[in-house]
Amino acid sequence: MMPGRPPAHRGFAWRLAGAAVRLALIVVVGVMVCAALVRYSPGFESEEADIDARLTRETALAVHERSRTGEDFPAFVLDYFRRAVHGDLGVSRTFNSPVTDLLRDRISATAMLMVAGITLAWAAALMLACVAVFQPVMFFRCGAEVLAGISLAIPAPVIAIAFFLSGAPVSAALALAILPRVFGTIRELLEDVCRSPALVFARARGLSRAAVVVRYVALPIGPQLTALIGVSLVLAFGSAIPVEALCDVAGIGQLAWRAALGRDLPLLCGIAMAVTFLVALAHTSTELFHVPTSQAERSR
Amino acid sequence: MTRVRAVALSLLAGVLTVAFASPAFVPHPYDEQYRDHAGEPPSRKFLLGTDDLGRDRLSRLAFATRLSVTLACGAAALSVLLGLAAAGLSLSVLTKPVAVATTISLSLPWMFVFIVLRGMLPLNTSAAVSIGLTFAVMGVAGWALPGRVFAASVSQYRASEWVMHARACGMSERRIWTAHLWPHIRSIAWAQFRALVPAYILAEAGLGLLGLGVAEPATSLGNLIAELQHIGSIQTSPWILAPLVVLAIITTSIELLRGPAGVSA
Repeated sequence: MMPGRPPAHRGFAWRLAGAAVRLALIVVVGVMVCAALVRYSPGFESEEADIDARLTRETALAVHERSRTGEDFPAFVLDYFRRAVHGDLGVSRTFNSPVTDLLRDRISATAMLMVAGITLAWAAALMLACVAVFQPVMFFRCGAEVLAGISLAIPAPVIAIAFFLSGAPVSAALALAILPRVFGTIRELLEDVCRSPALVFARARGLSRAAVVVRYVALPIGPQLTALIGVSLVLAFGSAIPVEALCDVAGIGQLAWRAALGRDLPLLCGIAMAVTFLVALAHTSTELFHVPTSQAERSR
Repeated sequence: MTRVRAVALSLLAGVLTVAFASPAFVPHPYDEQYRDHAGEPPSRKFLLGTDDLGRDRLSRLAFATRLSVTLACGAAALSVLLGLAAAGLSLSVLTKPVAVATTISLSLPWMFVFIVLRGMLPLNTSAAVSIGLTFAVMGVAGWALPGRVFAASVSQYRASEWVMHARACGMSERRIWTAHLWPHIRSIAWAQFRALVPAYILAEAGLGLLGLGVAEPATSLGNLIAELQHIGSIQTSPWILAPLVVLAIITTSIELLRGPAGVSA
């Protein structure tokens, strides 16, 4: 650390380093947990060949022999991380292709779907929450609640199938899956902030509407909104799996589904690593952003 | 109670009463096949028609509703209990490990974990085992969110002025727990339970649509909704929407009964 540098910078550097270490640990443990769940699940050693009456016992045994990946679990994990450091995540037995290539080929489709879905969901949630909180007309308030409620009651895959077959963008179905949670949280935050004495006082002081919105509404709820982005990411990926699987979108979600059906340990570990990394990165970033804001609030 | 909540409660009670009382008045078993009546529209004999194997849709819908609701409640109770146990552990020397385990669990999307765990069941699993394991997997995998809420609430309450006052008055820790903390935690546990039930019903529906739900001949709302993948048949047989309508009524009613404050990320 350079002498004379402001303490705030030193604090941020430490927090950044700590966050990086925590991120790496979460990814490692996440992959190990996923691998252990898969390896020690009761059906790991069962194969479709076992229940295929057309195959002889020898053929079934040969199929088993071919797919003995991960039988020695500690050795598998050690070998997996040793190769992962060099960018080799193994070979998928379902697709007979390197996991890294599969992830690279499909990540853009999922990323585009999730970005479009999250953007749409946030735009709709912000609009509906503003209507529900600030619009005194009962019709609009109830309309906003009902719209969010409907998307909460119908499973995302059903909406996705309907959208897909009617030619509407699938990302809108993903947005509908995220919308109710984001809407509910934003509405609660807005209701809380609108009831705060600081806002009432600011209005009484005669501050302009824009100043009130920026200083007393947007800034106080900013950290919670950034934390909500991380939650949206988890929700979006969770919903992307059935949406991609049913609507034939060649993304990570569809890959995860096919890997689970194919009991493909290397591929599932690769997906777990990618997903855990992205989600933990989002959470860590929001935490890093959150602390300085709180400090700034306290110092004001 | 507001009018909306009264309507929600009536609808929920109506659907559940029909579903749970149906064995008394539905004339056909849910798994019996009437091959001569396969794919029939609603009639006096089969009020919601029959599926492609000639099974009575109404009986199957009632069975699926009973199964999904009962087991979603069981799974939600399991998650809440595990969350409480995790919160209890976080008060001991295991604070850090529990926090790390919670963070990792929350970093893996539920649906991914459900699909991985459900997909790993043996291929020749019986219907009863698949039903139990599908919901047990949900119950076990969903511990992290209630666990984090409980841990935060317990530590907040333990640091509150009224608990400090009780401690200063010489009240034992056990008495503080039973008289002061548990009533607060109990209401949070109830709120978490009500939030998890519709989430698990919807998650099971998602798994059913992906072909990872309950094994035949048993059925769940997810398995029945899977028929909607052939969406073109809705125009010719709109009664196949019945499971979706029942699902929407159940989840919407539970959400409305929870009230606006219950909706959270």
